[in-house]
Amino acid sequence: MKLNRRDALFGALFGGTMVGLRAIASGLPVKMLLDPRKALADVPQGCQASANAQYVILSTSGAGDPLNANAPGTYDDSGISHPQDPAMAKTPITLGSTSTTAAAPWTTLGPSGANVLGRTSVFHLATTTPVHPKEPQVLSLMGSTIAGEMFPSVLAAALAPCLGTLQTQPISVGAATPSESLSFQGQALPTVPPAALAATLLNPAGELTNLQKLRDSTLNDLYTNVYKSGASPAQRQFVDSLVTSQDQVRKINPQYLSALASIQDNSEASQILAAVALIQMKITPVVAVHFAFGGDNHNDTALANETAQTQSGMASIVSLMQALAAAGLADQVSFATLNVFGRTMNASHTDGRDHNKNHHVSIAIGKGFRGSLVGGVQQVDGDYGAMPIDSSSGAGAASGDIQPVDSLASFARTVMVGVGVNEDLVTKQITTGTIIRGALAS
Amino acid sequence: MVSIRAPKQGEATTTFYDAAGLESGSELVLSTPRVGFFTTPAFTANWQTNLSNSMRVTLNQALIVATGMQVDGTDSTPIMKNPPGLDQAHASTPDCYGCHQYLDPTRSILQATYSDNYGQQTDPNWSGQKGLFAFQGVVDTNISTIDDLARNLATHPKVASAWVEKLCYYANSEACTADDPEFQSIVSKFQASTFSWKTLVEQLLSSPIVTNATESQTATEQGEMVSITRLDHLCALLDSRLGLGDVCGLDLTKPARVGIPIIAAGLPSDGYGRGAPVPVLPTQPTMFLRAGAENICELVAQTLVDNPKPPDGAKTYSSASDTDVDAAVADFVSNLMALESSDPRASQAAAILKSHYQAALGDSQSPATPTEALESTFTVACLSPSVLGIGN
Repeated sequence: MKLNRRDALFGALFGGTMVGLRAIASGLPVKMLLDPRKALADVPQGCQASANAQYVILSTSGAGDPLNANAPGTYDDSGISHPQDPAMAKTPITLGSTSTTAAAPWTTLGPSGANVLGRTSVFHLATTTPVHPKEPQVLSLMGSTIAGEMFPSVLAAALAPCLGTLQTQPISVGAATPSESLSFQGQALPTVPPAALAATLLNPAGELTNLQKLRDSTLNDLYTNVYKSGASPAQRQFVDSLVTSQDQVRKINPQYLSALASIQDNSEASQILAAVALIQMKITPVVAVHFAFGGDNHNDTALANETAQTQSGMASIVSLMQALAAAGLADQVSFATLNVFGRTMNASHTDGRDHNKNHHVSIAIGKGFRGSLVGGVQQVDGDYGAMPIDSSSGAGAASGDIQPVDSLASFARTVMVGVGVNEDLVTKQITTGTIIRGALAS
Repeated sequence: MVSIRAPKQGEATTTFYDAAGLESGSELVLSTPRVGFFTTPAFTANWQTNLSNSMRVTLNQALIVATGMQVDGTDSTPIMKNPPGLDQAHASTPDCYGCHQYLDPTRSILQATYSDNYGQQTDPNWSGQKGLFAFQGVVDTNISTIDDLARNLATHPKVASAWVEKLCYYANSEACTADDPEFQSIVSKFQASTFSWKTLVEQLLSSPIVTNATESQTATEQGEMVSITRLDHLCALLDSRLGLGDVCGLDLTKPARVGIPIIAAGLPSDGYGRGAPVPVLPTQPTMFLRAGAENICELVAQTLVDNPKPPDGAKTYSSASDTDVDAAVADFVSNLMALESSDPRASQAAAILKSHYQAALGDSQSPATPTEALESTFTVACLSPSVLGIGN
């Protein structure tokens, strides 16, 4: 029997357990879905990071925001379209030794605002996809992580043992759609909306709270004598997970719970409050948020929405930096962004932008990063794309040793090292890409 | 049931802001056709389109809802070269053509009918656009109204299996194996019932695919999944077993701003991402589920135990006498925890709960009142794996 490519693909995707279809939908490789624990069995256990291990707050958007379109380095080419609003005026900005220009809101990262330009690295990348539903795959670095693990989860697994967090898994407080939700070792993770955090974690004063210890004891009795007796392995594992989660709840430091009480919605400001509190309580090493920078702005007259959200998005980053500083966490927490793709930038895009698989901008801010502009833009396929990158200096250059197709994994490797993860673990967990030394503080 | 029809010559459309009239009426007169789930404001608000996307997302999500499948490049349905409605920008690139040859002509009737904001299409450049329907073995070149698209979706041969599979995701938190004879039997019965939802629910939930009472191909291939009860499960469970109306405030027409609905908003939930035929289903307990569930259970306990003004129709429990407490504990076990008397675990569970009640009353640090002790006992039952889990 002759098996053509289409039949083979169809059979692989839809036969048997539909695992191929599940793989497409979830962005996870088949190996991970079939046996996630085995797939990750070769991940080293214990702390694999330096003494400078950082918590990470990652902003991600499946909308493909135009964060790239007005970033440092995009005003050098007069063919790139920018909003004409004075609020987005071309403004000088200095990233380490690089003097360039960007839309005015970017300068709020400087002394007049967050004052973090000295530890801000701006990466010009390509995610290589223009497809919204590929957000989970982009978070898995388009196949460059071991066993298809999502980058936030790779970070979390490496950092949790060093930071001693209550749970290893990352937490998303900002996922705007199921596409932006996270997974860990093949398991979908729930999104925790900030507005529900206080009501979830705060215990009302009263006798029922006083009886918690007794209830925990009774529940353990139920678990052991009613539910685990004669249970299947899967049932026992489930009950064990309930025991673990019960223990974790009781270990939450109540000192910081009061900060959650003021959260009334799921806005970016509330996500910031939630992220900082979760880190203060040492609940998780990685918190995902969603800071909007214009969204899916195909139809955006005069790029007005892009203008407004570039300002509000930058204001959110500034607020986050200020909140971390106020909490004494400026040197313990790093911030990064990774969206599904960037947007088209040529001169025709004055009233909206389309998806751009060739160009995207990510930011990394933290103690482990050096003020730097990594890569740059060049003309690609009638629009603009990322340039090759010199891994030593971080500069964009035609002769760079990192091609755009490898820039996403290179960004991730660099971020991992920047937040303190040992390089040998980084290269095992992210199988492609090159660490960009020019973006690192040391 | 509400009927929707187009206005007759000179007839006014239904006044959209006449809330009382809309609620009491049985007919809507609309200029913009609304013919099924994929033309409702809720659906279109969730899956917004734009000039660049040109209704492709709308069509693809409609296909996912109706058939559980999407245009993903694996369809081998025979179709003419350069079908009507094909976006020529994608016609010359083989990578693009594979999907666009189906997506573009099939979405054409959406573009001909609706504007980018899903109002009435008034642009003659689009309103006359030709198209066809071509998806997973079905080709219909006779597409001239939005009703034709609706008919093709409703009668597509993949509908029955898609909806059995969707209910599988709800019940099992993972896929059922489509070539499992049990699965196929359910599909057949669902079709034979002319798509009776009640038949589907009865057939699937009593099937070994879900009960695991006997071995099935699905269990062999998918493995045993023991999942948390997510938002919809837990809230339905509490409503059903305790006679509560909408304890989690899931009815979006009656938004609740305090109490359980606020906590429930943080519970893990089922979700379909854009372009994803398979839902995102968290299955593992987390500290947030545990903490949120405890607060919910405590609030429910305070609603049902010794409450002189419980909600209409709710089960109530009294701590007034030992007999009342025994009856309450028995109901916690048999009803809330669903451990029937024939289950050997039931008596042990009852003994543990009764012991908790007594221990709470006699707590040396902070002795509870009978009401508080029974509320705490309810909370234990409410946090048991029988309530927080599926498959225990």
